[in-house]
Amino acid sequence: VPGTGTPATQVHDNNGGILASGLFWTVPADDRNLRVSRDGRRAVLEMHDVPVVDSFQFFGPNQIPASVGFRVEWRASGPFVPRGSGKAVGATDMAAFLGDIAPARSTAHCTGEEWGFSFRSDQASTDGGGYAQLGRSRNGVFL
Amino acid sequence: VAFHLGTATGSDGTRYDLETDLRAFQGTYVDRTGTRRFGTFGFI
Repeated sequence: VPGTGTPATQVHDNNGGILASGLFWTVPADDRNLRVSRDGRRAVLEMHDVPVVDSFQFFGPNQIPASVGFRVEWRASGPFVPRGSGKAVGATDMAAFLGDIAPARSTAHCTGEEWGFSFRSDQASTDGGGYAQLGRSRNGVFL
Repeated sequence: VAFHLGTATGSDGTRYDLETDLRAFQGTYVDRTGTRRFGTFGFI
């Protein structure tokens, strides 16, 4: 991806694609790919050779097969705070969940590969403009 | 959920800015048949 991350300058966009059902950017993982500490304040997601598409730009019309790998680590940087409004709002309201969410710092190493191009990242971070959080939440029939 | 900022090196030798939107989910969900299942998902 590009200098500013805006679509105008973006040159690659690796994403999980959108299924006919409407499920978007979601890929199945093995339970062992995600490790969460007992206190829930640290998590590591590690996946390799994940099939994705490169749409080159955010919601770009053209897609080619690609694969990515990454190791992402989250560490809570503050307390868990109750969030969401549960059933007090409509089911499609963005607050229609209940959870305990903590702010976090996160780092990531990423790789990607497609026909004629590959990349390897340095350590990316949420420091200096990024954002991360982790926690437990429930919605829908689980409210 | 995490939005990272960083840099990457391409096979063409170019240095790129890297931005991510990576999320992970693990827990109980209801599949399309209405069956409750336990699973893990990435969001890329």
